[in-house]
Amino acid sequence: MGYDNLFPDRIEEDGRFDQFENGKVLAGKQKNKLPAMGWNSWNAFGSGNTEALTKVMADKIVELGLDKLGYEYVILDDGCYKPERVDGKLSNEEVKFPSGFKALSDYVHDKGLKFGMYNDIGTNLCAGAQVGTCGYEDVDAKSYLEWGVDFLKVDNCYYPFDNATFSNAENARFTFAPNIKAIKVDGFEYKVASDGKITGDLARLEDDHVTFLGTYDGTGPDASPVGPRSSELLFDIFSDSDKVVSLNVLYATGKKEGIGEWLQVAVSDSFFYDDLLKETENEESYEWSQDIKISLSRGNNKLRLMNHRRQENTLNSYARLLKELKKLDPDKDIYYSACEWGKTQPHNWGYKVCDSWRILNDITFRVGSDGDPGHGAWIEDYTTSVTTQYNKAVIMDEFSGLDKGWNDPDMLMIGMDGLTKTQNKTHMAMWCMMNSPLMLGVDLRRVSKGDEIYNIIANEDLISINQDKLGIQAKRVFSSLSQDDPSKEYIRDIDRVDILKKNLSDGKLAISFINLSLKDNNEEYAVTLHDFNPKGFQKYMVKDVYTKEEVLNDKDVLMVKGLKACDNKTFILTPVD
Amino acid sequence: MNSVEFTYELISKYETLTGQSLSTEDLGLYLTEILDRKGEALFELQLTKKQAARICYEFIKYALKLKDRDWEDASKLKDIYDCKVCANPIAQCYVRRVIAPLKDDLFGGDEIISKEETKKITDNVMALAQ
Repeated sequence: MGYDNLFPDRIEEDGRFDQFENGKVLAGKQKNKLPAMGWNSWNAFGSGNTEALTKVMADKIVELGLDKLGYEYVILDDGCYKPERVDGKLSNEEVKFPSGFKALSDYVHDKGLKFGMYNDIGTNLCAGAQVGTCGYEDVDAKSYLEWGVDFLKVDNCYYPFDNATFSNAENARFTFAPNIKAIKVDGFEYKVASDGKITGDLARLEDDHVTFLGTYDGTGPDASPVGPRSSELLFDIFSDSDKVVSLNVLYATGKKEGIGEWLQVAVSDSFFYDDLLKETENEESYEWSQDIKISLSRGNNKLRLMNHRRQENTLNSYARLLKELKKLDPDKDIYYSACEWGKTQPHNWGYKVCDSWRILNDITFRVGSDGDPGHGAWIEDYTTSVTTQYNKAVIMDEFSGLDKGWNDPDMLMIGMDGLTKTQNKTHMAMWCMMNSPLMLGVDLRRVSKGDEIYNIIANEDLISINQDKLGIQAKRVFSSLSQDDPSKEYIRDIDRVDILKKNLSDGKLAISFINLSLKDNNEEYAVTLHDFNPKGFQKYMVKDVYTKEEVLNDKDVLMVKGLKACDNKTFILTPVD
Repeated sequence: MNSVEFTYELISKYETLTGQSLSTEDLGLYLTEILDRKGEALFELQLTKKQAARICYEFIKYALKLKDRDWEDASKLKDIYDCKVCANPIAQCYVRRVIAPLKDDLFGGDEIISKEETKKITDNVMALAQ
């Protein structure tokens, strides 16, 4: 079932951009899963993870009672396979994993835990091994089921149908339309400058042509995840009758971000073209396309020129593996974690096949190894910090839920060098409030019951917030830097206080006051509680998740005065009759 | 030059310089894997700067037993975040002056290493051993 000469698949209708908002899942994906909890090898040991280390981690999860708190998955990240397939199949790296994956899976299962593995929708894994699932989905699905895998984290390096990490940069030819100057419909010419309309804010008119017809790259922290993340070029075409006419496009191709070779043409939701156009001499050489037959209805028609392949190709690739898994075992429920770093705005389509989706590139590029805890940061360049990931995830609550899946701001860095106790504490609170997956990345040999790290990762009240059966991500109801709607504004300046509110089951609430700043804050912050209760005023027992103190609140206001740098105060409110 | 040859070059220079031989444990898992799997396509590819950084970093960490240094201004290299597994190795090689960036703000990870550059880089690693 390999891709034909590594060319993008034809996209079926249910995998199209136009269906992203219909709420329908594909390939038998099972819904209603809470955020995953477990341990992943990458932050702890990088490519240096071994079978021996993994077994010790499984032992420690049980010894520390973390399994009783919900940490159930033990996941092998990159670095566990031989660099090349053996007889076309995935195979264990024999020095690091001498007993093979089935034996390790059995060991983990015997501990009452679940076993996870890692792969990639491209041709290679990120560390280079030539064992990506691309074109091998059927073979790999069989292997994973034989090994008893319960969780799959699937990356996006070396992806052949987009300019992903390590991929050929020219793959952008698949994911952007060419630059377009004009069209001819039934012989009538329409210029983009005067007659075309651009949707979204990615594409733009430059002089006399439209460029950047595609989808934002969400890997880096620059772009908000909210709102339309792709652009189309629209023309209103009037027809005096129902008829089939020729469309020609005056275009110039490229092979880079913003200018591609692949064009999609639709009239409303009927597709008429979805393929490469003939390459032009260069990006400045425009030529008229071949005739593209389109059907017009009598009256006004919305002609759409676009390229949604960045999202559609990636969804299709993630779907291919799920389909193969389900074909072999329809009832086996494997937790499916998409790790394409937010590149293709997975929060729009991820729910169709996946249970969680990364929203950005990695939270740290300085992972640990045996004897080295690695390095995490509260604030750092690019995506490599707690606050960078939080800033984006916190406004993505609308994309998550039990009927969808979860935004994933990457694994926890608790236990790495570079973060203070307070920062670790708030890192945990943020991830719990945002219904993020809780993946430990610490060498658990360094953790003892009752020590600083343990007390943070084992905070039962915070975990209960994350795992609440209502399954609703917190909403940001206040930010001291908000100018408009705090739940949707993309704010990156960390010199601020945020207040998050999370609805819990049985009428309960979780409210978190977070000072992201590196400076102490002595202000008072308050929320009016009846704003969160459709029935109006309600008394609550308010529990501090850290001190465990519980007080009756009958004032209708929850207030905190003063927040230390990077600190948080988080409460669970239980209604009182 | 490929990954295998470059790794052997480092080992050979170290052993000549110090008179000490390096065990599998001294090399660490990644370099051992490269040597064990010589002949496999991945390690036969022409050596890029980012792959050289990975190999040098593993050597610095395991053979020379030097701890990571602070990134200092390494994050100014625009392409440092292009490669998850080589970002820290690139930063460590940059701050230790083992591998020079292509430009002030660009490491140039995909550049193929020349013979002259190989000599310079391996000499720089050996300077850390002294």
